[in-house]
Amino acid sequence: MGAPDVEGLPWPEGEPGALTAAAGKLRAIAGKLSAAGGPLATAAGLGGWSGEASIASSLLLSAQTQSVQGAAEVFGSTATALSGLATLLSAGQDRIRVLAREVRAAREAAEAAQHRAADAAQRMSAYPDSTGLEGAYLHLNAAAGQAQQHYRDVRDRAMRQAHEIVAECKAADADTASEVAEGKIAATAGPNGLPAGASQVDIEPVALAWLYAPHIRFHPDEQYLPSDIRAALARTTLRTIDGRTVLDLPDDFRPRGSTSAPVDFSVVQRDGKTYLMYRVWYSYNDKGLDDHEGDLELFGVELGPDGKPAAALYYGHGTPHRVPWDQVPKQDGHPVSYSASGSHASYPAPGHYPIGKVVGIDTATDEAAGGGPHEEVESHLRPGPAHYTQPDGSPIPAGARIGDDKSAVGGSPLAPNTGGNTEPFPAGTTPIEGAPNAGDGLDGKIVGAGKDIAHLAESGAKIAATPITIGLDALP
Amino acid sequence: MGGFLVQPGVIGARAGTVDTAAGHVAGLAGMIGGVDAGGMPPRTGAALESALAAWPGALRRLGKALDATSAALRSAEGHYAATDGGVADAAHGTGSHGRP
Repeated sequence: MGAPDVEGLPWPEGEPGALTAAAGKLRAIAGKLSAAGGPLATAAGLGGWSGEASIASSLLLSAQTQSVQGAAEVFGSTATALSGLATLLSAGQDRIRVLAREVRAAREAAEAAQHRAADAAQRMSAYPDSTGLEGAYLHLNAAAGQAQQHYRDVRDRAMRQAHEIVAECKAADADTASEVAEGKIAATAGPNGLPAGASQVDIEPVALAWLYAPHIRFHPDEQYLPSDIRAALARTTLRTIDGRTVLDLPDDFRPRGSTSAPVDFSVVQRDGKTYLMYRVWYSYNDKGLDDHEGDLELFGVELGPDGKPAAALYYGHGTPHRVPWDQVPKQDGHPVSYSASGSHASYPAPGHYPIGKVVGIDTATDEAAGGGPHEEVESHLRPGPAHYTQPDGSPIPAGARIGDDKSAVGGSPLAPNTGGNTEPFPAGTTPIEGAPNAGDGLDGKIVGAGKDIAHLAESGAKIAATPITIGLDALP
Repeated sequence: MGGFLVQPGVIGARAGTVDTAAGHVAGLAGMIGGVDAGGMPPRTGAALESALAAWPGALRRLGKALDATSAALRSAEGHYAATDGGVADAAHGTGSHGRP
């Protein structure tokens, strides 16, 4: 529904009825949740069962009851916020309608006075010798001028008041939107992804993991999207291949993945700092000479002493780059990470990132770009263990890789927190400060966007045959 | 190890309560689909639309968590009841675990 005819006065957007209707439905949901939570609370305290299992069960039920009640609070408070905005908006729109009526009345009075003066002028010109008509005209013309001035005064005052009302409604709209956004977080950010009471958010790092989960931008050419690391590990068999210990994956198990696969996270303390670590798993690394089964990509958020994010860790290849939080690209408060085509390495911006040098010349690049699928990791987040296990529950041996590929420059990955894959980064190392240089490598110069020299080599072309096409800016 | 008391029927009753709650919670996820963010002031409308997309999943997760709790309680009830029966059979010498 558009704005009504209000004499050109500004009109606050939105329909109070829509807000009221949504508030009513949310309030009903809140009521039903509260009703469901009541018996749960009672069940947690029933007699007739004591001992450790009973205590554990009661604790679990208490936590779940809190989640139910927390969700009820969220829907209830959101309904209250929407109702409040509806009331304010309705009052504002009513007031503007009243102002519009006043303006309309003044305008119509001015038009009528002007009409009467014009009639008098016509009669006066028909009877030029009539002094009475001249006097009437002068009187009516003066009255028309006064009516016109009155109309302008009424209109200007109404315009000022309407602008103030609209500004007030816009501010209330912004405030309500913030409350709804907080409600969205509170209803999804509890431990294990369950709803949590608003008071739990912003306190526990576990809850913060939902707040600061990355939004991943995939390259349009990407062939392998994230999949479930636990589903992959459940299909592995521990073997020794060519002297290497591997958790072998079935060769026919290579899901293309999706933007809704579960992503595990962990909360790690290191040197007095807290890190939120996100583990994104892909069934295959499709990167020319570095093709390999299994691909684990980390993304980290470093929390400051105040519990707020201080930096994001982008794991291109190897040592992560630490990008200060105020320089991290964000969407709705979430850090944005660009996943390089094929390698899935994470970068803070689109670009052609050099990743391999031969005699000082960039011979391979990661190409990161938007335009492909997007993933909002918080929608599929799952607390992960510090250490995964083999399908029979036994520990994964140190140094074992998930997948049996050993590529020319890398190979299948280590499981988190095994061997050199310690979270947030190997002990004794430190991240590289600042974003990686998205310098132009060979992409686009030889074979066009989306390809690089590694792909070129794989397809049988000869690197040696193309030295002249290497741009000078690719030289060190 | 401290002593403990088990009345399997109490555990079953607790599981029943959790089952009922799980059903209600999961059902409410569908009700959220009936909430419409259209026609609202722009920022509130956008925020509500985003929340309406996230909330059903949260409630379904909660429903699943309650389902899992209920299943665990039912399993415990079964184990305790079977143990109780087994011990009783043994004591009476009538069961497969009884005296020869």
